[in-house]
Amino acid sequence: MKQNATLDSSFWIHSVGAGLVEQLLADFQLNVARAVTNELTEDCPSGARLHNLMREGKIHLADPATAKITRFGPGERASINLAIENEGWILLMDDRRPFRAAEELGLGPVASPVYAASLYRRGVLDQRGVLTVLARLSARSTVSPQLIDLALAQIAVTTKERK
Amino acid sequence: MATKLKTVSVRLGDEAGVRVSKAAQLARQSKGAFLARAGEQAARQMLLDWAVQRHAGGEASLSELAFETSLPLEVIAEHASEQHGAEAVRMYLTSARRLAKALNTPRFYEEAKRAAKSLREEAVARS
Repeated sequence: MKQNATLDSSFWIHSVGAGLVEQLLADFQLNVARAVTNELTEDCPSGARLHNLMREGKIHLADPATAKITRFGPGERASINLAIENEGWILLMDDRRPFRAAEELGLGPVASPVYAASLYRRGVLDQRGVLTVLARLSARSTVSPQLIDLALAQIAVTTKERK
Repeated sequence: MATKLKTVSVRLGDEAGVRVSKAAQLARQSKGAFLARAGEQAARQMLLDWAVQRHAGGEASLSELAFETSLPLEVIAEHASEQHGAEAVRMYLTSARRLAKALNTPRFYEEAKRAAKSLREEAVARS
């Protein structure tokens, strides 16, 4: 059985742009809050991809029953609340401020550059593949440069260890 | 679903009035329709620039900004990429070069450069 996960809109947009969707679907059962689907409209490429995958039953809709977190935008709030309610779900999140808040709540969020580095570590992506993913994430410019640096460092160390 | 339209009155000076009349004529629109469209476009551009600036400064998340501006979240993200993407890739290459040197893995930097080059090629192919 696959690990359950939920994500915010920024993580989804970055994953689509970086070409990570197939790996995400292989690794996780993705559950997306309605507020996130509302933010990712079908007239934009990433939104269209999300809605198509939902229609195909590959991504599930899940709404939080409570609203413990009331800060941030609607999609981020709903994703964090889903992760709070469903212990053990992975929270995939890229926006800095809600990411920090999720960390403080002990939810252990995962950002897209770190996820990419883990794919390299596991041998799913080779060095060229992971560096291309990180270059694409950098080019989005909405991914924290510190997180890109951290992932690059992880990849460089793994490369060194494999030499 | 029918869209509810709001009425906004504007007052134009003589010269501005002439310019708007001529431009609306060229666009084959009424003056009202022309000004409504121009105003909407200017507002959208201003809000996009403002949203990208706020996001880059860590003051607000994309989700918050989409909610506040009524602009699609993905459109704000795309605008950020257009404005700051090249600079972000430059920073990425700087980091890769530094790491390659520190860990004595020159191929690491070569691969990072190749990745950045392929991005540029993808962008050219898209445009």
